[in-house]
Amino acid sequence: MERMRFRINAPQVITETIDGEAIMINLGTGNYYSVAGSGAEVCGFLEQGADVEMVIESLSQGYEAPRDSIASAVRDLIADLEREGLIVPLEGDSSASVVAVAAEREARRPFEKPYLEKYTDMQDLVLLDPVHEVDERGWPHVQPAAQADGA
Amino acid sequence: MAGHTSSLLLRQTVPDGTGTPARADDVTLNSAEATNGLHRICPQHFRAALTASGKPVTRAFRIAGHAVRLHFADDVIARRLTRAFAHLEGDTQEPELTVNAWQSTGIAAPPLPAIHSDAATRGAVAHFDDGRARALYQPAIRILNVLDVPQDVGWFWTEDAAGIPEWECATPIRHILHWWLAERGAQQVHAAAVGNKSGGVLVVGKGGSGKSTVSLACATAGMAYAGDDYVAATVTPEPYVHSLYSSAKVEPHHLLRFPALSEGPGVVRPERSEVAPFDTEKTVLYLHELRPDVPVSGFPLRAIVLPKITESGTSGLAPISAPRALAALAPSTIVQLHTAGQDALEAMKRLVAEVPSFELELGGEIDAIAPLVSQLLTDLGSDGTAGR
Repeated sequence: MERMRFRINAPQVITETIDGEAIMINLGTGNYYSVAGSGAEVCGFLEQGADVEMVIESLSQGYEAPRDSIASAVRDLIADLEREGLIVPLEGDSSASVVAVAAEREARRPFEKPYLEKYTDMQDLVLLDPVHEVDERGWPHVQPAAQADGA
Repeated sequence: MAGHTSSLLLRQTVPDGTGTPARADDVTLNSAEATNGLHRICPQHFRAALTASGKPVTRAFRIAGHAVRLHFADDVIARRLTRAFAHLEGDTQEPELTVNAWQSTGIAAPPLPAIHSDAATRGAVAHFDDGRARALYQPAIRILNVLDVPQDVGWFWTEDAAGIPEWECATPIRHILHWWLAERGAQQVHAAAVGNKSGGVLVVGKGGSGKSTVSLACATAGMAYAGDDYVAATVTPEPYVHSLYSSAKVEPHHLLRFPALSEGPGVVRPERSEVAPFDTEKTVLYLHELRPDVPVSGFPLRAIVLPKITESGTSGLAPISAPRALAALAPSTIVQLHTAGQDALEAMKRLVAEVPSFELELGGEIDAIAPLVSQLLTDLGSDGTAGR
């Protein structure tokens, strides 16, 4: 897992971070999530193209905690994010992102374990009101009888 | 997406330009032509409807600071779609947005997708956006919304204007307004808004969370009312809430808690809908008819309030974090609007970042709500500096 890279599963997943907490919404399921603790930082590193090892390394240099604890917490969060369909694996070389991620290092501070909270109370509305996105091929298909009758 | 290459034999009505009733020609379109050409096809259908009716209606409004002109092919659809805008009527400037609305009274329907909604997917919609035009079709109520983006012209079609459910008339053409206003920095949000002349609060949360309780309690007390379900919000030059509709939607049994608003011409009680999935409608209130003194076009936004119904019996306010306010506002808005995405979430984040947020515990005493909101606005001061 250490060399894997991920991206936010856009456009199905949208996300914004406010006051150090990321709010993520899965438009396909209606489920929404709060990524708190150091979780928004993890998501930020992933969005910059860091692989899992780089995320762990960056957090280890930024937080006062044993590296193993940080590594375990990061792997758990990434597994949760992937299981919920919020992130998807990204192909390609991660070396170009090393400098960018390293530049984000901050002074060491107490470690806040990253965690993901899931809310499902919008799920029913999405199931009742599904949105059929139409691409350049046009409306899914036409209603010949109704149209021909001018209904 | 099966069938996307199939052809459509459309009895397309083409005005002949002579002022005589339009004739119908058979035109063959495939699905892509039908969808991508909506901004060209809709004008033809609208002109045909105008010709057939002979009684066009034009009304002018100022919505979120913009001159909006609504053209209707007949007075039936005009009446159904303008009642909720009455408090915003009267703009005389050249329109920035024009919306043309018609119904199928003996003329062909515009090209429609074959999606269906039933009890399991009652609100299914089809959405199309190629940058040039946006379209959303609501099959259960046979309504098509189209926005010609570069021309600033909207097109609204329904099969039978008299059959539009009252809950839809309470918040008409909201998809067209959502798309057009968003491009001008005004984000439509699923929220109520109440306050006073110097400022107000946005009341957020999913359906059933207490938004209507707060907004109707404040309206009953004579506070300024900007909306109950959908309002627009801008961040610059200062956070501001813009009213879109004077309506409110409330469960019939819930209306018993507001006797001052439960009788009168502005109360439209639900009838059993002929649209099966929607046969349990809410009562719609038109506040400009019930309390002409309370609807306003908008006010500066001072705070975000998240209602919480409690069993404690006491009502009160407590600060909450910005992430919690965003989690209460954004998912509900995005799901309700159907077509909102990352841009809308970013706009709501910017809004939440600008004002303080509070949880409003609703302890059952309706009369306690308005004084709490008023006191909050007083405490925040005219510039909102007491909070965040």
